Amino acid sequence: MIKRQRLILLLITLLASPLQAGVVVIVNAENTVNDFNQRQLVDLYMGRDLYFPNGQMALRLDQSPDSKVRKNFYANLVGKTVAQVNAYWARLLFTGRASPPQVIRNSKDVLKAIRNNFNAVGYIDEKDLEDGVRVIAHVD
Amino acid sequence: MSLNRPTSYREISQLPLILALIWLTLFPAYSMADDFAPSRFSFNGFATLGAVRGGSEALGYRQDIAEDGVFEGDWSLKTDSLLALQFGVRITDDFDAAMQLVYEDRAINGIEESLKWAYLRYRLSPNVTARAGRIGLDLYMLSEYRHLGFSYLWARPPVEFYGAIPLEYFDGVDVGYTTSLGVGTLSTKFFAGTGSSAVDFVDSGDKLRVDKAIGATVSWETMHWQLRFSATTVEFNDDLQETFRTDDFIMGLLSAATLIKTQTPFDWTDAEHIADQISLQDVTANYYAVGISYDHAAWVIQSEINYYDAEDELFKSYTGQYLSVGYRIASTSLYGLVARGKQLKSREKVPPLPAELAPFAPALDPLLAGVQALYDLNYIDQHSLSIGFRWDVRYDVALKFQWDRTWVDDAGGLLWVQTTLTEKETIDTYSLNLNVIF
Repeated sequence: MIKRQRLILLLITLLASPLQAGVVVIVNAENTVNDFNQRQLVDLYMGRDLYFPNGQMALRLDQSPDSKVRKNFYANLVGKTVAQVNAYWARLLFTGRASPPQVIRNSKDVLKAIRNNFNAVGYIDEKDLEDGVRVIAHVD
Repeated sequence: MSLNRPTSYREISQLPLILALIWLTLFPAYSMADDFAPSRFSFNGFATLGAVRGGSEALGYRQDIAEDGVFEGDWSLKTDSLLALQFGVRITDDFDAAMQLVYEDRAINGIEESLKWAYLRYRLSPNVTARAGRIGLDLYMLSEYRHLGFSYLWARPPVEFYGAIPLEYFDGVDVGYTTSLGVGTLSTKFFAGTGSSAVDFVDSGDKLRVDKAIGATVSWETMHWQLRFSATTVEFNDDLQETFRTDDFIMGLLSAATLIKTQTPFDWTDAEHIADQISLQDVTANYYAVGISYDHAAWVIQSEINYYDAEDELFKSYTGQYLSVGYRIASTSLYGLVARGKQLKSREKVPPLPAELAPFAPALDPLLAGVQALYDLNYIDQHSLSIGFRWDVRYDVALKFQWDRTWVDDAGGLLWVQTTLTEKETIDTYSLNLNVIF
């Protein structure tokens, strides 16, 4: 009985662990903001707090709605699908409470945008990391 | 669309809307800019293409008080379909303006009715914002997004709760304060202004006007939970008498009473009492609502209760409730919904004509029947059970099917177009909706 439970646990662990590298949240290399915890990330990406702790408004970047990295990011952060997150954002957008993060075509452009914008924050697949940006959180 | 009624201009005028909806549905586009520079202007929208079959011979289905009804055997594409466009402009980081137009089937359908909100907003601090202009009325959980089908499970907000509130927006100001509290975010809001709404009551030109609306909302939101409470006080404009045609009835009753008093030895004392009851002057009311929702993993549960507290004899105190339970399986959700709306006092009956006034019956009975109809039109006692599913076809398109069974008590219909006096009925409504955001 115990053996079987262990096997199931192992299976669940295997199924749950992403086969690709994790998702990292990045900012401009010169941005001195401290690492973000889960709550701060949720507040930022779910529109509850649009500011960095220093009071500057964050320029939030999102990936393409079809992308795997966006799917993984929201699944790991809030346990929701892209459609569910969109339904949530539609509510905030169409009631005028907040605007969703700006969508950038791909990880390369996200990196470029963050290098060029001091207040930008985005997420990419860990394996796509390059110089000029700083990791402030891992989401996996 | 109706087959047994002649095609009106109003029906034809809906065609562009339906075509636009089909186009948007076939080619949903994501309007977010690829460019990373924060854009100054924004344009977004949402749309619903809905087919509905429902109603009975006496009760016409509608989802908005400004609409025509769908009667037994009819299918309608226009009743549930709508198109909303939203424009925003960021003037500075702290100062922006926004406007939302919702185009749908309405009795009166101009820019004035389509403009759901248009306001200037100033962010005084990261926690405090103030708005002025036309603003969505914050009365319930779906405040400012009751038309946004993509954001909820159902084909439409529960009628027994939402159907009794004809006002959606007001012209005035609001101030909101948001702060972190415990594991969640606390938001409070105060608002004040005046309001007006198109209603199709006696005829399609009717308006419902509120001279003063003052209210407050408190809500607390965590990752999975939302709790909210709102309280509002409203003062209706005296042209309510005109909207409900009570002026004519009052005049009829009082002149009949005077005539009887002068021409006969009798006195019709009921007339004055009835006239007093149906008078709609200085009508004020208080409105309270509490709501709770839970959204985590597979479960989406939501419930709201409202209480409309009125002194008036025609608009009696009322309460509406619903409970919705949804369960997600991959990209589909199954849900069940129970809802109930009921006035807290029993149905008003016009006192019969006293025996000594029997000779006047041919003249007075139609008048009394008219008053009874007025009471009944405002009487509410119905409940319903709904089952449906939602399928997220894509990240911006959802398809829904919903079946409702509604039990309407004698004269107790809420929101239906009532053509005649109605008796107890059970009505099934079938809805198929396609919701898109762009």
